[in-house]
Amino acid sequence: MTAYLVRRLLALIPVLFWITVISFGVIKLAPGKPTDAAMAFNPKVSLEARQRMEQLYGLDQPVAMQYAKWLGRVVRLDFGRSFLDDRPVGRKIVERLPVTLTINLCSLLLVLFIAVPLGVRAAVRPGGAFDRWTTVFVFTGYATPSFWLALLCLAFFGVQLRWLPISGLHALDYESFPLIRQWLDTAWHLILPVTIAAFGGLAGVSRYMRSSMTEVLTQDYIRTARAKGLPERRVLFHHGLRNALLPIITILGLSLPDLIGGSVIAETIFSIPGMGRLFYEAVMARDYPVVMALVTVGAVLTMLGNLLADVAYAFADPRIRVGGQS
Amino acid sequence: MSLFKNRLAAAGAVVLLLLAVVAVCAPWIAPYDPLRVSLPDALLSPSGAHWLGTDQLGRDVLSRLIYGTRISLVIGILSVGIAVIVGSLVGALAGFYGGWLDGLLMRFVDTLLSIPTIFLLLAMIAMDPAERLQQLETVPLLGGVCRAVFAALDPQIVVVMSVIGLMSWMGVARLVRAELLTLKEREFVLAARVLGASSRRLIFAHLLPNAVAPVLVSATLGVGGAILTESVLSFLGLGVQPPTPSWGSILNEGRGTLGIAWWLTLSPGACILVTVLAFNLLGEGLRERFARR
Amino acid sequence: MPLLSVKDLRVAYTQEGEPVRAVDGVSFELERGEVLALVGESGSGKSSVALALTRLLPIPPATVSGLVRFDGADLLSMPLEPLRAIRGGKIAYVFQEPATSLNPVLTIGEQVEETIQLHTGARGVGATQAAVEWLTRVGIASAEERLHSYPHEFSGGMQQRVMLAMAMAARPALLIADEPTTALDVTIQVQILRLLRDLQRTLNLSMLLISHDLTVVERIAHRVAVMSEGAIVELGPVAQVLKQPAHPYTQALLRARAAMTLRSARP
Repeated sequence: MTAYLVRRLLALIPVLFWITVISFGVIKLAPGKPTDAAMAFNPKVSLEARQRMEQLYGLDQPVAMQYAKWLGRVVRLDFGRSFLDDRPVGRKIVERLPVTLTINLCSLLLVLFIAVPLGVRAAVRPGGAFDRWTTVFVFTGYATPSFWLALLCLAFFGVQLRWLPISGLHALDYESFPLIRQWLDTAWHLILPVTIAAFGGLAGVSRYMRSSMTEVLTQDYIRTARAKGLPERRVLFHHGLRNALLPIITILGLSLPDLIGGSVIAETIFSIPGMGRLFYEAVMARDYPVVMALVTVGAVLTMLGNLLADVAYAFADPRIRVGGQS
Repeated sequence: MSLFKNRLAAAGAVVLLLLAVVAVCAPWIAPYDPLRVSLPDALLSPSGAHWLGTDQLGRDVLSRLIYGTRISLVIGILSVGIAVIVGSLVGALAGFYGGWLDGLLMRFVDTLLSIPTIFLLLAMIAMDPAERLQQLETVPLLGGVCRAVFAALDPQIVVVMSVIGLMSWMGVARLVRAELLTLKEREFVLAARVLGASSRRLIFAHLLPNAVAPVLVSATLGVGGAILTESVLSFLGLGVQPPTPSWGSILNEGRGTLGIAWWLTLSPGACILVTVLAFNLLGEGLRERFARR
Repeated sequence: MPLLSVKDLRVAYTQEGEPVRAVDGVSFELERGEVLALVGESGSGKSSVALALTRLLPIPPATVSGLVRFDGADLLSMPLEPLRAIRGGKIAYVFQEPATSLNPVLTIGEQVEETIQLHTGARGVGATQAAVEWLTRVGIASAEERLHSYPHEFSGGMQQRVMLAMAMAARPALLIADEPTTALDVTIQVQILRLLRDLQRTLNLSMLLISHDLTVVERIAHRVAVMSEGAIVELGPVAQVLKQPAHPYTQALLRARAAMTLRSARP
């Protein structure tokens, strides 16, 4: 297994390299000099600050040198300063990161808890009523724009029924709550965003779960399990599901970019102060350092997630964990 | 189960045909001018005069939706076209030549795929591509093409289309590469080589045509995805700009009046859903048909 | 009374609207301690017979009819609960491809113990002990350590031994072996056959052996039934059928085998 993991880690290096090149390319391709934009949005930027920024971006040097300098800073997690408020970009991201990560994690869990049973049930009785409805659900889910769903939920649950809050992360008097109530309040506010963020994944994962389970149920070892006289439940879950879940780990890993991207919409509509919304605001304001930093961070997060998925898979599948014949 | 899916795929095809008709015949079908502002008629709920009501500026929603069909179909199809062309080229090069070129290209593809789509999209938009494209007009040959394209289509639409296309080619590249890798070893390729076919001829005349089936499936499904992406962009205010009616931008305009004017939110979303669903069903149907062979 | 009595067994599949008769009225009996071989080419229906006996064929595409009496009970009409007790407990199976017939994500210890726990009521240490005994008995060295190994860590021959251990651990009265040696290397085939014969003799095991290989049949079976296109065309003691085949199909099979042996005998 260590050989496998080492290979995976080594494969990441060229990808990391390309990520830095692309992020750097973003800022280089941006029209005008970054310093111009800063001037345009913030007339209070003084000449010293402008000169400082020019030096920071090394705009007076050849491109390769600029890239090298930029890379040096990025590795130390120094992404420069935001054009909007001149605060270090790194700090702005770190402030917002936990919220986005929480939403993504929760929606991942939600997807697992709903999509896996759905897919399994559909696979066990193929062609049945449940299977058909699941298929309808999956196809409709793929076609529904998540922001539209968000708006509808907002209108219905938030405005019409007044069951759920429609914006923000905390209630107005959050500060005064005891810890437990603070947690509950945050959870309350996260219900809609998490559900919306999970929506796309639900359709996809249930579908893959169904096909994975169907595939597994045709395998010889299932026939053996039945020939042993095992109760059907045990055959399906202990023998079948254990195997069917393996590819799902990979699928979940692959769905990470969409998950992170999905938070842009959920956070924007529900006014959650997360990374996604930060990105959107930065794009609108042409705050390039933030845009570039977030592209990098987003990609790195995805890669980390994929790595985690790979490690998890290596652990879960004995064929990789334990290696070949002895 | 197969019959059920077959009927769904056929339904999808029928819906798409209808949509195409609507898009082409928009000027004759739409009851009103989609751009016609009439403030006294603002925010009317659906009625006999306005089947789907009006928006804040008194424009007829139904007419705007009908014209929106054009935007969605044009952007959807053309952006997938771009994705297929770029993706096929990259995939063919990687699959055919293999070696370090393959490694390099595929790492690049992997990288692009690990950047969250929306991030990549918005980042590209943030670079003010419209300006960039207009700068392209100065380039001798390409400039002529650009000018012609911009004359036919609103530059912003071209921008959106290009951006979406440039963000979706990676999947096609992987697909084409995979096909080429398997096809490369087959006999008819060896036969062609022996007969002295050049690499270029091999790629274009022999290998690529066989990769058509999975690419076609991917393209059909891709149109649905492209339409969704365009609607997201327009919704965020970064896609098609008002007053051009795109389903996404209509949804964006309706945001402020969510509680009161539900028709502004329900109908454009429903249009997107039906259209994307139709493309998806058709794509899946195609996939099954090709798989059976 | 014979241990297993099969009368007019029929299995049909519907393939693309057309019903295909895989097993067309098969009848035979099996006494205790006897080894009956079912021989025929691929597609003759032998595997379907084996699976149909305990209703292991997926029922929507397949339809099964006939009478299957095992130890006095009718297997085809029995409710599922008692049928499951018989499956694996009184009637055990060994299949052709041991690599895919074992669950890749469970240790062989778990898989063998599963049978033991289900059919003998042993638990915990007792079950583990029994598993080690059986694995040793089928020829797996250092069985106690190998309990924690996974199927992919074993060679084909070892995997088949594991399958045998798994099948025999419940002390079944009848072992149904569907082409148990076909997927193995020739040298290993001999070993496995020897093991089977050994088990059969020491435990007075009844066996239904499915094979297309007449050599295998010769080595281990008492009686042989020759199947062709879903029906038994000849049935009798092995020595007799192989020396004096009555049915033209059996004669053809023997001629084919003779041709193969002759060819391989040439330098």
